[in-house]
Amino acid sequence: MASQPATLLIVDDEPQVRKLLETLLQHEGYQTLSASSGEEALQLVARQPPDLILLDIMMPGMDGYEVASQLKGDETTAGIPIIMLSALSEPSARVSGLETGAEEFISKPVERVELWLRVRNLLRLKERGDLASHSRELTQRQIGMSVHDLAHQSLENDLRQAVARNDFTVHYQPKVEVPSGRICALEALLRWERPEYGAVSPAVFIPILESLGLIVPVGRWVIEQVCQQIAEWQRGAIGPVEVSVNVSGHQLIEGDLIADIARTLARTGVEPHWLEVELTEGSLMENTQHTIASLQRLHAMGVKISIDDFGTGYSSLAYLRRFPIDTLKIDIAFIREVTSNPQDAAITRTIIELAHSLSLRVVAEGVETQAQLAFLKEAGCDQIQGYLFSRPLPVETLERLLLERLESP
Amino acid sequence: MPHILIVEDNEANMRLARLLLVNAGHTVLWAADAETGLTLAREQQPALILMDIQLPGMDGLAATALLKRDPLTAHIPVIALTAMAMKEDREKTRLAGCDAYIIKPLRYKELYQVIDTLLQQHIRPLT
Repeated sequence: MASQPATLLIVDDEPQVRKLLETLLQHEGYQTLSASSGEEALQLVARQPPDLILLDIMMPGMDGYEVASQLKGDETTAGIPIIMLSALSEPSARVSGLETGAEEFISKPVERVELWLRVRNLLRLKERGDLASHSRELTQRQIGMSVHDLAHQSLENDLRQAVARNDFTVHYQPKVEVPSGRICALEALLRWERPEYGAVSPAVFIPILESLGLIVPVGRWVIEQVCQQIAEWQRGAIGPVEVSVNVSGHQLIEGDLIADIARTLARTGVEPHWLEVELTEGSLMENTQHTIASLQRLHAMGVKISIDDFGTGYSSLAYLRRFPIDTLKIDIAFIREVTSNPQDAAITRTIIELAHSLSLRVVAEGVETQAQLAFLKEAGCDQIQGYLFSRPLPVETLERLLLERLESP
Repeated sequence: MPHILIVEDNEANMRLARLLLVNAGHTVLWAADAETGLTLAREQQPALILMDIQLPGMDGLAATALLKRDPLTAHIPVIALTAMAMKEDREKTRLAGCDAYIIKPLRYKELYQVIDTLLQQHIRPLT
């Protein structure tokens, strides 16, 4: 963000809503202006163009749709991002809002994190000059697919409910040491059984949790579950097992991940080195200074750090050296065709050598065939996980597997 | 497999590029500055050159312009490695005679794709 704090214009006829938004936004370091009607808003914008506008749809006199159309129709104000606010959450309100050219839509009551995320995102896009393409894309998506939008809305609602009730489970996928074939660690994976639909892929619901600002509490819950589980195994016949947990970039930026982890480890009595956090390459690139500082604190505590999906992004060596990393996980896309695509094979070999030159462990995920395993073994990969050995398992099944392995070494 | 010359002053970038190229079966020559790069290009006749744009002393653009004026090296395809993503910068690499450019930090797949394309274009039938 620029050194000057961004100025946000709040347009709402209800004084208590204006007050609430002012407080929330000022707390995040923004300057605020307020208008109690559409007419007043247009005058204010003409006098002092803000960096972003939060615009209530239902107002007496000129409503939000009209204000947005006027502002977006005027060349001098079209570049100011608009977030529409409405108590109506039906897709039709959303679609009409976006048709006027508004960039985003938030339903009331406004949630702090959601507000903050959308504001921050739009200000960033504006700074980069990507706003036009963002709203074009959004409008097309929303108008062209209102059936899809309805389905999405209901999915969001179900997810909110699942979060409120902790309706998730954790499954564990074994990681196997390549030379010995021994189970050496586990990856914890979040599962959600949507009522009346069945299991929903994390690839679908995790991004929604992120956009709703709910990934922080859910992420915290997963870490608690995992630590309790390790503690339980530690006390029983299985013994302590290293478990990695996927962490979203949002948890590093919005929540206090480090404090959450420290507290949970202390409460459950799990030694930090049994826990590993997996972050994607992409999430490391965001907010780099803050991310490096957070990861250094985690690492200093003794928690291990792994880079997930490695190799698809800007995977430079200089940048790897800046982060306190223990493990690289080769992106599944390279493993899929490692035995048939020479480029993927070369990238896989490169990542393995790169990791070893930095004294890091390398894990290959998505291993499904003996031929892939043979390649990885020959290339010197340290650990594998994938259906060839085992799919992610519910706790009871996994425990049986771990105990069998203990009995027949 | 053909050999490839990397002209790059940053050791970490060079190591990564070399690893990627060696694993794809290329042999690799390395120069840490433009002058050495020019000499190696003339003497070793690499099949392709990866040229960092920001080099100490003579920069990569000036070096490419010299390569492209020299009948001994003019035929060798040059890929500019640039940290600059602006349109004007891309235009500069084109004017200097670069055949392609890659923005750093490099993406593994992209590097392979650009190299393969250029090498295929430059294989001339024997007459």
